[in-house]
Amino acid sequence: LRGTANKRPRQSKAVGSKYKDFENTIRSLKSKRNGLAPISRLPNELFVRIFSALQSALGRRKFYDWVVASQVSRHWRSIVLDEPLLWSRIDQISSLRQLHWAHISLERSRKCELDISIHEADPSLDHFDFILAALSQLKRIRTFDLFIDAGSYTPDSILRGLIQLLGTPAPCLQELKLD
Amino acid sequence: MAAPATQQIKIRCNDEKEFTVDRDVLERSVLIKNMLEDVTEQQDAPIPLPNVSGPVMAKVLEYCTHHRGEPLPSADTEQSQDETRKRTTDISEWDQKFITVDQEMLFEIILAANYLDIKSLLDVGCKTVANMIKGKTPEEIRKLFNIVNDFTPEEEAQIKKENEWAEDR
Repeated sequence: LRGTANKRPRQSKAVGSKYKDFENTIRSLKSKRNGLAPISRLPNELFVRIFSALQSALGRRKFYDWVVASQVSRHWRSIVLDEPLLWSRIDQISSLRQLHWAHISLERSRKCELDISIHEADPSLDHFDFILAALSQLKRIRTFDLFIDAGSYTPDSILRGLIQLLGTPAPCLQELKLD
Repeated sequence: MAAPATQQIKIRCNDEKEFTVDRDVLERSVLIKNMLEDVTEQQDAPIPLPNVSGPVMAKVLEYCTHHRGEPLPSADTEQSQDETRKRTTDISEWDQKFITVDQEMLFEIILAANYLDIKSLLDVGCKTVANMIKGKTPEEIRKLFNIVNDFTPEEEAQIKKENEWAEDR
């Protein structure tokens, strides 16, 4: 009896390992199957074009819904994460969700030039943190469109950042709108 | 000097299907336009198009015929991301009807437009796919395009985390 009991952990480990192997095989078959779907005939650069069209189609309020493209399959996710240009447009931070994706975009856009447009910034959110984070990337900002409601409170750090912006080299900057 | 609009050009697809088409219709394709510009003498041999099949070419020619005479995009063919963004997402009624095809054909048309360098058709195709994706959940998109969830548990966890943080209040 003791012998059988001693074997159990080893057997359980072996079964577990076999199970994991099967899971990996199934996952790899699923990926292979995905590769045979008609849409998978498109090369990556055309997927990028489609996702870019999706961004344009969504408009400002639903802009970040485009990230659904990164949650469909491994192939789609790798295309989205490997293309910093898709993350170089940062639009709206008027909800927690938008603010969250704006921060992620800043990171995933890597060294790409940025187009940032912030309207309806909600003072109750940490959006000023984002504006400061964006300003720290000034050297790669191409267009910067910032609208802050005159009636709302604007921290000194933002005002200082904006003043500093006017004296900082911005080699990519083509358009600056501050309101 | 530009050739007369009535000049007829022969093309041959990868399934041996041949078409004889007015030059100005074919010149919607920047690839063919450049090919024709490189040929100085009248050529009788059909232009081979090894990446396009007859049925797809027939659709592409339908598009090119409808849009003949319209100005082509600027000579600077490589569009910047900015230009891509500024383009509207609207598709004209005719184009919408034209592109209402099954998925196989839709992606074939996109591939052909990319190969033949017909920017406006490529745009119509990509916008159509974008509109199909718009407003759908990942699972609905998978179903639509006949793909399955092949994420590893680690990737699933990461996506879940992204979305937890991202719920709108």
